[in-house]
Amino acid sequence: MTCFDDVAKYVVAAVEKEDRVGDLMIAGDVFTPIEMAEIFERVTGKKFVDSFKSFEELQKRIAEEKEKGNQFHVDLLGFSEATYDSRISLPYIQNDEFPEIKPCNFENWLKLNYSEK
Amino acid sequence: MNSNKLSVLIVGATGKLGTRITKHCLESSKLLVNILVRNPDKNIPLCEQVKQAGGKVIKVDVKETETLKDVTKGIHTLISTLDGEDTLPGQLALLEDGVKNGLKRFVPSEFIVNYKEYKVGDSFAYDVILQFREKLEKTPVKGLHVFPGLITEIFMDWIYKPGLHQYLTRSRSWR
Repeated sequence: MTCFDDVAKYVVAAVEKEDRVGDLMIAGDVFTPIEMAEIFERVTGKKFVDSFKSFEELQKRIAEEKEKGNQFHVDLLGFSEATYDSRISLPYIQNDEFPEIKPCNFENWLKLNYSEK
Repeated sequence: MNSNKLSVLIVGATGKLGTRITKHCLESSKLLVNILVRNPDKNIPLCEQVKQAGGKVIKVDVKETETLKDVTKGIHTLISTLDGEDTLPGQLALLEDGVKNGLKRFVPSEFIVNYKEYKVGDSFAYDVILQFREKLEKTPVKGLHVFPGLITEIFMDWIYKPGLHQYLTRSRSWR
């Protein structure tokens, strides 16, 4: 997970290198969903509610919403489903190529942007 | 003085990511920044900064692909931050223009999770990206593909949407 401003910094740092081409894999933070929830709850004071207990439960809910014709929910839940597809995980991280960039981790980003909400 | 700088063209420079990329490019002593925008009034100070730094502000709507003629002339690297349904036709038109004008590098609007395990047709979410990457790889223009994983701001907007439920039991790492 990476915030917009850090994405922009890495893009510019890579573009400054005239011959830098190919893939650039970067990340401001790496964590499990449980770790993410713990950070979120600690910083914002909000609780994650109504979590799904299994991937199958999530898929069942998507099917139910599809049946009801609630496309909005289908889209949102579909995105959630997609984030649990292990194929989307970055196979390696290349932050070290640009050591001058110190990306903001999720906890600090939340403190800056969401702790008042 | 600008002749030693690498000339870049940022497409969609007044958007959320485009604005940030443009600002950081303007802070670089190595880059000559040009921007392509649909509506310069959306961010007048940014457009003024680009002009003051010696760059061009090109007002074009990428939907009107015929108006993109020669926008890449003299450009080394194009950075696209296009979003939505105009992304594929807009980028293809820009690529065609780039091939004609000797563009060296194209940073497509991807900025997403790892899609490389997917093929066109596997997922609607990645089809536009994959289709453009296939086209790009058949040209002399080199691609620079940026994978930041989930974007924090987009993710947070997403989990704050009403009616959304989180599934948090699987322990795979998110990047």
